[in-house]
Amino acid sequence: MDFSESPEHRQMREMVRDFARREVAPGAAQRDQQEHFDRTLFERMAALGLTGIPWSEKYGGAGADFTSYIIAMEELAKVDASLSVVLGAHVSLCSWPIDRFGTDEQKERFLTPLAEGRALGAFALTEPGAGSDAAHLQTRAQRQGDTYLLNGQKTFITNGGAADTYVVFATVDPSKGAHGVTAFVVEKGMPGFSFGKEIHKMGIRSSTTQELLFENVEVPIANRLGQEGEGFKIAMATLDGGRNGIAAQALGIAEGALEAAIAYAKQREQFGRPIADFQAIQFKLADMATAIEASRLLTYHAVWMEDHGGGHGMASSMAKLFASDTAMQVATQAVQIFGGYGYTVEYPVERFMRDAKITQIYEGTNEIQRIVISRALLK
Amino acid sequence: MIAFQPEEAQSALAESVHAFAQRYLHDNAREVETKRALPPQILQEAVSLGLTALSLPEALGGAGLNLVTQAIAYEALGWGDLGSSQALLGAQTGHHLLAALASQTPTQDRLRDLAETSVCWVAPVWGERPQADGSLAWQRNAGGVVLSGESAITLGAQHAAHLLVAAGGQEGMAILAIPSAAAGVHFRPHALALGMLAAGVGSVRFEDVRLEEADLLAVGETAQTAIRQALTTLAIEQGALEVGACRAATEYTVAYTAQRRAFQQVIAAFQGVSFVAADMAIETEAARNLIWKAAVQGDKGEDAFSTAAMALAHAHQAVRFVTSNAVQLLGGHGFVQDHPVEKWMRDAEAQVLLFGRELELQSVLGDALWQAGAKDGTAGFRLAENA
Amino acid sequence: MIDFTLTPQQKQLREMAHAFAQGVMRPYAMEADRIEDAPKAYLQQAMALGVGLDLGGAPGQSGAERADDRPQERTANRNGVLLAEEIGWGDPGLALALPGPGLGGPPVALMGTPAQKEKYLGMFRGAKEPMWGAYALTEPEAGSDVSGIRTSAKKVEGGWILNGRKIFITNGGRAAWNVVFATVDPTLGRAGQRAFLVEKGTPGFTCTRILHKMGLRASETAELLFEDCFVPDENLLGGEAQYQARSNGPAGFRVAMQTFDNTRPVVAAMAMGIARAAYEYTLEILRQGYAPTGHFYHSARERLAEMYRKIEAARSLVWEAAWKGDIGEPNSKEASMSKAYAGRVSLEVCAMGLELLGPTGVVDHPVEKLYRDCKVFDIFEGTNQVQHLVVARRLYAAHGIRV
Repeated sequence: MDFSESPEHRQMREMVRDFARREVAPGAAQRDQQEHFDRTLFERMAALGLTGIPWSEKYGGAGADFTSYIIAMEELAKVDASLSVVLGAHVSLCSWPIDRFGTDEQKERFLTPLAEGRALGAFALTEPGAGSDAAHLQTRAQRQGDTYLLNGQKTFITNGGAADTYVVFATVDPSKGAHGVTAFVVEKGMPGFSFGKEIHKMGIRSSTTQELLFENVEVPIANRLGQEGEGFKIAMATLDGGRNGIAAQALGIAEGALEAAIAYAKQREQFGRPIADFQAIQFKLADMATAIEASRLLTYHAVWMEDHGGGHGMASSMAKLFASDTAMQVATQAVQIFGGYGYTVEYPVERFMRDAKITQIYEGTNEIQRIVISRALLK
Repeated sequence: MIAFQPEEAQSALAESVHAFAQRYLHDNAREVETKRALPPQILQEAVSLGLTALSLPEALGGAGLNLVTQAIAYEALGWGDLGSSQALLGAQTGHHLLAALASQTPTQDRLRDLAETSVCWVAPVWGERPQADGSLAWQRNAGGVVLSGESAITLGAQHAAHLLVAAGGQEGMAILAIPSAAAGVHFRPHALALGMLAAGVGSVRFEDVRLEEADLLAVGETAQTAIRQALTTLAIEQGALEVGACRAATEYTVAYTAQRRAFQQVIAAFQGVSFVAADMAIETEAARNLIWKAAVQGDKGEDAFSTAAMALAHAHQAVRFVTSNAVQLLGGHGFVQDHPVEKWMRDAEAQVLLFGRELELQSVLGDALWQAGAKDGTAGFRLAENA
Repeated sequence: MIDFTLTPQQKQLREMAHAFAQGVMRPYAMEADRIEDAPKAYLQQAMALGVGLDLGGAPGQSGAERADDRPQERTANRNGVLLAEEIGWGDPGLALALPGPGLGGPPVALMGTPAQKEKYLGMFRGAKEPMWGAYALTEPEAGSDVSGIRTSAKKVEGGWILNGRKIFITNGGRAAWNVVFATVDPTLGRAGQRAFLVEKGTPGFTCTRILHKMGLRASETAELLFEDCFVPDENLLGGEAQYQARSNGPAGFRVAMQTFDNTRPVVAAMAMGIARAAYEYTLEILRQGYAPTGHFYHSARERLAEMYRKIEAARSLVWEAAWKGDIGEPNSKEASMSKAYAGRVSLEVCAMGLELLGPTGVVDHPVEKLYRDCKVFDIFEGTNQVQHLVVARRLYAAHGIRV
């Protein structure tokens, strides 16, 4: 067992931290207020090689491991969870299934521009009626010769509208349930593919979330990922991996909140001394740090399993569940420590709290994670 | 006799306030938040119904409702929308100080004049004992009084005609009345994203504001007593608003999870969902009971300061728990603005920061408990001689 | 009216209970925990003072008001929770060991025929020796799910034959009689259930085991066995007519449930009494050792305030449930709320007390015992999960959803 960070990982952490502090942090509050996704930051991440960390150099990636990617997610989330959401959807949810299930030709066509950051990716599973229940999709894909006709609607799509490449799930036969679900790569600009209303959120506001509308969109058979009916498996596998990204994001948010709380507690005086002198505050900070450490261990263990080919589904669910609950608790505590000031946008903690909430919800709510974990225990 | 049954008049009041809250606070809460202001016609409607003077005694032109009745009415308002309620009531928190002062002094003309305008209590502070906002100071100067300093973050000040503050000075703590338009009064609105966006949140800077002797409403012990009493009734108001918010969020969540389907059944059928809803209902119920307890105590003329602080701490905890779980149980739908719950959660988190942190409120109670002790705490036990 | 003051009678009642708890129960509390039984001297003292465990039952027939014919507001449930809090504060194990009809009282009072009431409740009047009644519902395979009981009742000439096993029965072994729930046909569900009064010494009825527990060790928790146990017709609780009255729904189950609606707030009150004892003890020990200044004080007072607040919140729910029962409104939601909340927070309060006391709390001091005693209150009379189920059902009923 070894808990030390390799030189490559340390280098990655330092690079992303530097980028995050210098270029991402300064405008984070304003972007959040204005619900503004800044594409130039994505391009800067591309220039630094962050948009394709775990993919083969053959397809424009950095050829690094998932741990490196998780490190990047954590460091970004420490200052701006929204940007980590953008990267997470791009790498974990869109690029990952193409790398894993795509043909060489599909990787050439879709993964390379994604890895190089020329295209932004998104993942379209959720529908207005279905939520976390992927086996019962309404979006239809009807085979017509060498193409499929896509009809339907997707909602809550991260990077929706902004993204260029979408991994979309539709059913070729609703009566087949999970066995009818099929995955496609749909590109922005295809006739009939448009965007519905923008969704306003309480947190992660500088990432876009939009509805997708498909009206007789002709998708060539060459854009189908895997076989017909393999979509459910692809979606579940993707979400399993994606959960590590959410855990890292939650970890970063919690760390950012703790850091801010410590700085404030040292500086803010009450009754003539810094509030950090009060044991009630000290103990809160200690509990926050302890929970964060536990999240870190769960998260890096889950990604270690991913890098070493172990079945990491349950580890990912546990990491996501624990880290996101921790993020929410830590951020809420941090706001409490700040008192009235925690409530203003002059300090980042209220943003951390708003951003933390979604980590308990998306890519399978924490209730779903508990179902996943308990089923594995009881089978 | 132990009883939990509102009287008929109280239920009737609750019903009419509820109807107002539904129409003017609940149904257009999103619009109020987006515009960051309550439309003037809503304020007018509320004034005509007497909803902005629920805490004023008869002597000052109010309805003279007892605290239990106030709590019932405030709960109905909070049910409508916590943020909109604060946009409506935030500029009137000074009523609690006026009512407390009126019960102590026979000369009430000045208080009555103030009660006729909107009067905001700038930055009430809960602490080990009633205290001034630590950064405000007053002193006498050439037949008048000068106030300086910057208040803590508070709400409603920029919508009020008069501000009331508790400031420290050489002669002790004083309660001062300041016309908002006085020279040297500067509002510093704070940029917000969290919640209470329409309630006028910010701090107030007093730059050597010159006031007259008559603006000095109370000094020393009189001021202390008034602040203690006002914090008591303010805690009941705020706690009751929070209970209303809890009830709204619980009702909404139950209705949503009763129809939302996943995995071929309504999600309420999952105990992971319905048990949380049950906890939300339990927390709401307990929070209401404690607010009522403080109110009953106050109505009987007993000192309810620490009970009210306790009740408010409990309501704080309940409103955070309930609204956060409302978002959680609605899942992605809870996080987005198509449903009201994400706003309720943000408002709740803002609310608990502006009206006494749990830590401070619990310190108030803790001090009282320590002082009182527990008479029979260790009595009766026969412990082994050599343990 | 909304009010939280006690009537002069209630104050008196509470003072008497408090005096008994402090003067009679507490001196035996630590010893009873060590010997895992109620000391004889304690039982005799309780008998001499005429203190017994009677949880009341039907309107106008129970507790302090049984003989009171004046048309005044019923207060039995409220009186019951006030008493329960005090004896829980004294010692919960010794409280459950108190002689009297105990949990068996309410079903007899609610459902019993006049003759049954006279015989089985009347026997406690003027009793010279300690005597108990008991309530035997739980089975190895049927806990809080009352509808799952499997103990069978077969009709025979002149009576019934019972076969089955009951566990976790408080005072079940030493009781003069048990109210035993059985089913004539498991496939009928609740409609097939019957309740019987089974006397101690009835052939075929044995107490097979007394269980050792982590807490409440002064009270007896028994395992009962029924092997072709004949019970005469007159011991069918309420008589067969009760069970045939279909308009009232499945009667056996209804009795069990009504019992719960009345006893859950009482159990919750006892849990809250334990928590109060832990809180008060902790507060006094800390006050003896620390001045109200400094680091430790600042965190301790916050913790103490939280303990106190949670006890107050629990008490408010308990009182609300009792009040609702007294005015004759359905109170199963409130009863379950009080039990779910009090069970959980009482344990939290005891744990916080232990933590504040540090090593003092675990070395032959009552708080660790109170902590052990408290745990089961989250479990018996319906686990915390069952309480949540009951509350959730009431919440979702308005939407036509059965959860």
